[in-house]
Amino acid sequence: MMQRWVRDHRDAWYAAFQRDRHRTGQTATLVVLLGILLAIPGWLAHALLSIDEITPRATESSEVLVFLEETLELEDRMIMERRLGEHAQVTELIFVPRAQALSDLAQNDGLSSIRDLADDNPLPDVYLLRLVPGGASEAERDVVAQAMSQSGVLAVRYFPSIQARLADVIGVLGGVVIAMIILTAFGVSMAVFVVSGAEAFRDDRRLQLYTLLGASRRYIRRPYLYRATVQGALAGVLASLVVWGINTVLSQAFSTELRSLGVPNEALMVRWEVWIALCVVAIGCSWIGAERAIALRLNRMH
Amino acid sequence: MIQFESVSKSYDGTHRALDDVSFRLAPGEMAFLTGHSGAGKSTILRLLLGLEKASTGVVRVAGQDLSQLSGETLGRYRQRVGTVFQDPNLEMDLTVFDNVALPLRIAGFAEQDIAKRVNAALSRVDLNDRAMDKPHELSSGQQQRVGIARAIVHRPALLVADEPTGNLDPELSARVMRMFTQFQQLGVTVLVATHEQAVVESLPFRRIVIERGRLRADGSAR
Repeated sequence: MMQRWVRDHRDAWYAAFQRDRHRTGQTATLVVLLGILLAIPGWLAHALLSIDEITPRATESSEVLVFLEETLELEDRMIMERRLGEHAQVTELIFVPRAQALSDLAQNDGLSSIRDLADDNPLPDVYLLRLVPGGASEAERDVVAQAMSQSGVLAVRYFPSIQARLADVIGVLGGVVIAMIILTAFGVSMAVFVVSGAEAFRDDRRLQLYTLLGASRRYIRRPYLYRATVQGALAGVLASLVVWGINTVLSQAFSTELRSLGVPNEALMVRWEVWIALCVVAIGCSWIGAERAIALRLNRMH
Repeated sequence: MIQFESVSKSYDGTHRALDDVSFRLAPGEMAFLTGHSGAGKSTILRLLLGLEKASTGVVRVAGQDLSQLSGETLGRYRQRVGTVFQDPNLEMDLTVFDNVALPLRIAGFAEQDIAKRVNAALSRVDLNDRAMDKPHELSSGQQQRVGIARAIVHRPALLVADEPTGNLDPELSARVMRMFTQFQQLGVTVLVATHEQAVVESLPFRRIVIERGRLRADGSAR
């Protein structure tokens, strides 16, 4: 029993490689096509993971500027100050009177003449809120919403930290990566399905012969599935190499900028999860595409 | 061995390939299935090999209703039938030995048995010395003999041949037919579909004549 199992699989591998030997050009083209196709979501996934890696390292806080109406009474301002200061996300609340704002502004190069406007100061009083470093962007937006809902507020400006902006990017990029993975998986399966379908059509006589000799569908499909598995594995490795190559080129091109941002080298390395995911998706989709194509052909034959 | 009982086969409910065909073939009997191209010979063979199912009527082989077979049981049934085609349909990547060994490998025979049986089958068709050659190194007559060796290597009780001499010259045709006669003498039931009258008339076996899907004549040679 065991001997038969080994022989059946050995024969299937032999048949798979025999076919590849005769169709090297077709196999190479398919592998390159699938490898490049898979590299797109692969690189996006790597970018996503790198951003995710960098995000917790940023220590900068987001800031919110709350511009107050000129008519706001002191008592109302104190109530507002208390409410905003009690928000869990707010770590620091600084009141900047309009006179000080004008004075600070005048200290900038070329703006000294603005002091002349002291009697007719156009700037409003401002609350500067510093938020908890590393806070979730939704929680930070809640602070903004609360500030805007206060009476006597002229306008609110939100300056998200790099961390908050990266968190937003991760949210969007995550969706894009998932969509791209689904689309690519479908594309890879379809490409293998079409190629395997054409191959099965060419091998019609062989399939008929094996059917007439009493071979099971599993026996007949095996060489095609093994071939697809090898093609998928090669495509996965190629995709990984493309991702690694692009990453190396970009890391070197922007090394100065990345160093100045304090991004460590290990945050930019392609993770093993990406390598494995690429190979698994490539092998799985190739296998499914080939299996469906051969099953369809055999169904038509019976 | 073979039993066709009022068998009809129609495609798309309109075109009738077979119409109420009945005949029996006893174990160890040899018969020719004759008729013009498109008469329905191939449909009978396809029904016998389980590639089609009868629209009405019953096809039995060794008492087994073929319409009841599917999947693995159908595969096991086919493993007990030998098939010879007009085109031997050999695997060009494999040696003659491996081509003949195919049915045995599919059926799961042990390697030692395979070697014995393949050598025996090759000696029956006088191709022992070509076992390690590739099919493209053989003449068309030799390729056909490899196909015959592949059909008998698993010692089937039933041998079905579809125009086995179609690509051969008269001398080789006669040789192939002598082989079929020998198999019949060994107890194998042989059904040969052919439209070559010369082949049919050269041997004293039963003829089942099909015309436009109907059984026109069934009897011994004159």
